[in-house]
Amino acid sequence: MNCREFIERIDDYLDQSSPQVVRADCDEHLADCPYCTDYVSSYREAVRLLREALAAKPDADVPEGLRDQVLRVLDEAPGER
Amino acid sequence: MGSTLRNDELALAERLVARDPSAYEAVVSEHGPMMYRVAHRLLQNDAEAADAVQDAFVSVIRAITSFRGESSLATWLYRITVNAARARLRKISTSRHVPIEDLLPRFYKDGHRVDPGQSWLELIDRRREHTDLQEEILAALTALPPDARVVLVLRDLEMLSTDATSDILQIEPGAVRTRLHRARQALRAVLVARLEGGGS
Repeated sequence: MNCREFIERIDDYLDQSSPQVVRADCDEHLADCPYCTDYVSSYREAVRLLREALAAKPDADVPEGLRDQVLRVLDEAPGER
Repeated sequence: MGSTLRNDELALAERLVARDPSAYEAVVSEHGPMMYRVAHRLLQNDAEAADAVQDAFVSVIRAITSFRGESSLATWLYRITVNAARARLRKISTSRHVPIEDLLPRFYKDGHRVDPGQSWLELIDRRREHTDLQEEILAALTALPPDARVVLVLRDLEMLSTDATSDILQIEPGAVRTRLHRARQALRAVLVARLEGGGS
């Protein structure tokens, strides 16, 4: 396995959905390739950081006026009531 | 999100078609938080997200008669919200996004990576003390092309399955997997570039 083949399979490798034989090939490649070992860390970390960044921000509350806006739009929209 | 609609959803859809205000209030109450959250995650802006949700409801009113129930009401509302937010994204984007192909790793013919760049672990160690990583990653998200942003929000933030995302985006599950893989690679590339480009 080379770097391109490994990176093509990285999602299956990380969520452990690849067949055992493919996983063994990936592990063998990682043991020999510091670049891909580093790539896996950064790939995983980027997604984790994104989840953390949004989890750290409280969900923005639905704007208070949304219900009234929707009812107004409904009232003004062309068509039969 | 299966293909079989629950009876109460069908009944609600019928009331939406009949323009029953209480049905719209029920949708705002039950699905509004999801719609606003998705719009906000895509747009990263309170006012734009609020406008996108309002746009989405305009679409709901206009299109509810074409709702056939092939997917659940929630899936349909996800789809409408994503489309409304995407339209807002197009309006507010002041600069062209870098094509995603430019953010993917490049390889030599033998499959080795071209210019693997700086070590992530060294980079992150060096930058951690001086950088707000959460701000950097959110900036990286907003730098991505819209398709990449959408699939990351649905799969990695909303934590929807590949099949549910496929229903919402109306693309094959294989295309969702490919798009997600490219989006994650692009997110990583933009984050690394931002960290490498920052001061010490």
